[in-house]
Amino acid sequence: MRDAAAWKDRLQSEMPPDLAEEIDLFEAQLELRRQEKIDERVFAETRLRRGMYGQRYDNGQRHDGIDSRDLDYPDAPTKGPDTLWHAPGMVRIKIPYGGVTPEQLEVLAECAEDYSDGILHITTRQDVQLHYLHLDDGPTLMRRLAAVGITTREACGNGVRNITGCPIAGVCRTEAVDVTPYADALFRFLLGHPDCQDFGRKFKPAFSGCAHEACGLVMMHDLGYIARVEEVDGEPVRGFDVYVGGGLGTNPYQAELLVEFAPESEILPLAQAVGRVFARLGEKKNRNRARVKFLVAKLGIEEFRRLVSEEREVLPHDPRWTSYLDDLEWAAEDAKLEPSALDGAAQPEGFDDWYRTNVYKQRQEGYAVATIALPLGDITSEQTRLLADIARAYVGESVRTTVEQNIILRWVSEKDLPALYEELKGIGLAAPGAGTIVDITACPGTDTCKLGIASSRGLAAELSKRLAIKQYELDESVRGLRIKVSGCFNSCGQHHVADIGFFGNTRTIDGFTVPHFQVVLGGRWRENAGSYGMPVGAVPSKRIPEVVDAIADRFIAEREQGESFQDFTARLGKKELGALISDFKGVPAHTEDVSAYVDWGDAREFTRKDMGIGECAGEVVTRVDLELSRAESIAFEAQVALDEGNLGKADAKAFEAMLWAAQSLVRTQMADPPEDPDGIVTEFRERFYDTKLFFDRFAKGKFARPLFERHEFGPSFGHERDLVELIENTSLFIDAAYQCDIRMAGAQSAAV
Amino acid sequence: MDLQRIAAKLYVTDFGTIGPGAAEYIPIFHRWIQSGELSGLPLDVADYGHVTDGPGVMLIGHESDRALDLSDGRPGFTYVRKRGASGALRERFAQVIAETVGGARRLEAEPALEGAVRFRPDELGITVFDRLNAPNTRSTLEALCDHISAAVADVLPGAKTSLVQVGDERRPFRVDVAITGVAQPTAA
Repeated sequence: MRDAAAWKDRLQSEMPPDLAEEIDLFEAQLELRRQEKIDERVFAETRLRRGMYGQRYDNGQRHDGIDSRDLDYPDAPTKGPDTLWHAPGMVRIKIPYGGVTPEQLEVLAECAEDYSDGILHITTRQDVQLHYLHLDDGPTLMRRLAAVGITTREACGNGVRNITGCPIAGVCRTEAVDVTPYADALFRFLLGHPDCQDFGRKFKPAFSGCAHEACGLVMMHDLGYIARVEEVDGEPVRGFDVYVGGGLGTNPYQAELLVEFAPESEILPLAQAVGRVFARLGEKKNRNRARVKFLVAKLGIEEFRRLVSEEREVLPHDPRWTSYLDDLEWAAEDAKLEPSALDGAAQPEGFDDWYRTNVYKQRQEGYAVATIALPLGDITSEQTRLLADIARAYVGESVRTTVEQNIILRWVSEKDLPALYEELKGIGLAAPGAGTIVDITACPGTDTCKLGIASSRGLAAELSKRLAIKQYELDESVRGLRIKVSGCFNSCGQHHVADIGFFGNTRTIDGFTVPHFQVVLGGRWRENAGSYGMPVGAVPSKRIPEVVDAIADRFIAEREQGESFQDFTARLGKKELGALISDFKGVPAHTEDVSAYVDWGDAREFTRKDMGIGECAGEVVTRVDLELSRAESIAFEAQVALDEGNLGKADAKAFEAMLWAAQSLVRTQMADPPEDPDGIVTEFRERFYDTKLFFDRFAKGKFARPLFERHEFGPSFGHERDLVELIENTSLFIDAAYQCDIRMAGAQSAAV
Repeated sequence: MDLQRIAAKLYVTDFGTIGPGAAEYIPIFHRWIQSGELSGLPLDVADYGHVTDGPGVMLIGHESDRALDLSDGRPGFTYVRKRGASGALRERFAQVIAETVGGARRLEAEPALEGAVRFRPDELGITVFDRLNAPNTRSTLEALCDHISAAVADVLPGAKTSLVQVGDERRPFRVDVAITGVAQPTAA
């Protein structure tokens, strides 16, 4: 606690004020939950919206290979339903469009070392995740990140997640537009946006600079933008095709075209309008049907488009919609070094193989992008720190994470590539094969995820090891295939868009549970995740390497001239492909060989008993609950200020807390409630006090009076006892607001 | 100084005895959890053997982590105390060093390794992950060196130590401790 305060003091002036305030609030909510003054469901969603996620075994149970054992953590309140406070968790850190600076890399490395296990994990949506983290370390970690401009806000939970974008935007040879400044503007606009706080589930946006490459994988996203340039009145005009309703999971959907060539000035308000429609009409009760893809499917794209258009018409103007357009040039990076060409000198051993797969020539002559292929998306703190040094030396600031769980350095002067390769090799980051069959993507799976069924990372590591040994002997057509592995049907490993995809499941054989992977073939990575693969059957986990070999052999043997893997699998069809893998469905009897009953990378006999309840969608908690919880946190800050003798701050915070609570009730009747105290109090009085909706059966309107009095007469903190009373009354007001919301919800369900 | 996150590492005598990726330690660490004999609350095994010079195979716990650690290209056994440390600094360092020695001793006796793995008697790495209270500076070294030396002697009676600070200020505080006067740190 003392250290947390010291870090806060040290970093206060370095954090953006809005992020600093959010972290203070979260810290207050942590304290309130410790005191069990916030409901565990509400706290869970609050925690998730700050990027702090649960991890496997956080319910206090683990199967150790012999039996399920209780994990005897110290006593404490829960941090969510069936989620123990002291159990380690994961923090997801937003890296919008993957853009990260050397300075940020250094702080991420420090945080991994100081709070986690020294490993940074790059996700399939360009985030960074740290695992085995204690909740109590959250606020300090967030402050250290905020001091270098990084946030974890809304990285999890039912909100707008990280915005992904093409990692080579701005240097790509075929893009229409550098999407970087647009993705950045949308990230800033939607972060904490009031219209995005009442979603039934998560919402993932993406940006692409062109339609034909994989780029930002727009077609599998909730909301996606593909840049185009059209000639209008003889002038080139930038715009975006806007897509909505894509998503993976058990029911994968391709996104549908919402607006063709929306002008750049419209992309932010369109996102806001989509958010409003989703918040208003999206499913809230059944989490399995709550993504926007289900709403689009239910309404039909025409009706969804009409609703968005209608909403767009009535949106109150926001200058942020277009203000960023005045300065798009910030995204145009300056190269650190002069352009050059690779000279004819002898190259270091291994360079040519690395160059062939890990180097992309930029559209800017004399520069290249170098891909650092990270095994399973993992990089150590020390590697990260050394990589920051290398980045500073060769490219300056231009580093990005990718959706293939790699890191790229942009703007490498070409003649420096051999030296860069040598330096990367020196820190174990020069593995060749980026974007090929050895560069396998995998979600965390059973290693740390509560929902994981089978070991996606274990399988990916095994396949990668086997394929790396023979990668140069493989036929070129096979080397270029992509493998992606998810630990379950939720598809975090993006198996639907792989040439060869797998997702974890199980089968019971002779009474024993055997880890399996469903084989999904022929997904299209290019064309922004242009089509999804076909499931052809489940195979025991330990036999998957044989399946990969069989598929590769068949492809080489029967591929027609120039035929893609997608066309090949489509030509063979599900039946034939099912037959191809059917030879690998058997396992030895348990008495003969137990290894098939043990998953990759594990030593325990397989069980599904460690699976928990997922938090990826968050708890379905109403917006009023969240805002009232926030009001409680502000009231808590008022009490802290009073304890510190800061009477002015105590008064201001108490009033702010009542305003939050009042506004949250007003919002239930009004999409755009006023933001100013006069407006909030007026609306609250008219809608809740004069109508007696706020009235308690016994106290009547008594609990509202402190708000009205504080508003009417202004601050009154001549005596400390006045403030003690004000803060007590603030708590009573917030309690009454909760009760009012419960009564209204009861009345609504009775009416239904 | 309320230091919580302290690590110690003992290095193996022969790197060649550790297989690539240290995968053979996965079942060993699972067995350690099953045995119920470890101090604290052990939770799970995490395999980072695929990362070059990484933390290797870790036995993650609530208060502490243990690892067949591949960092710095020098395999060894590491114990990291993460939380719940109490007492004087010397006691905290001694607890970490004792757990490290105990873990290394346990590995040397591990039947599956058939006695192949031995640990060096003359070197110990100490790291403190606390950039607020213990940055990797000369003054931190001055503040901690006596506590560390005394702690080593508490765990390994007769040990004489000399400390060399490693790394720059961007890195966590770290010293390499050269030890003389001890035949075998893991000999009980």
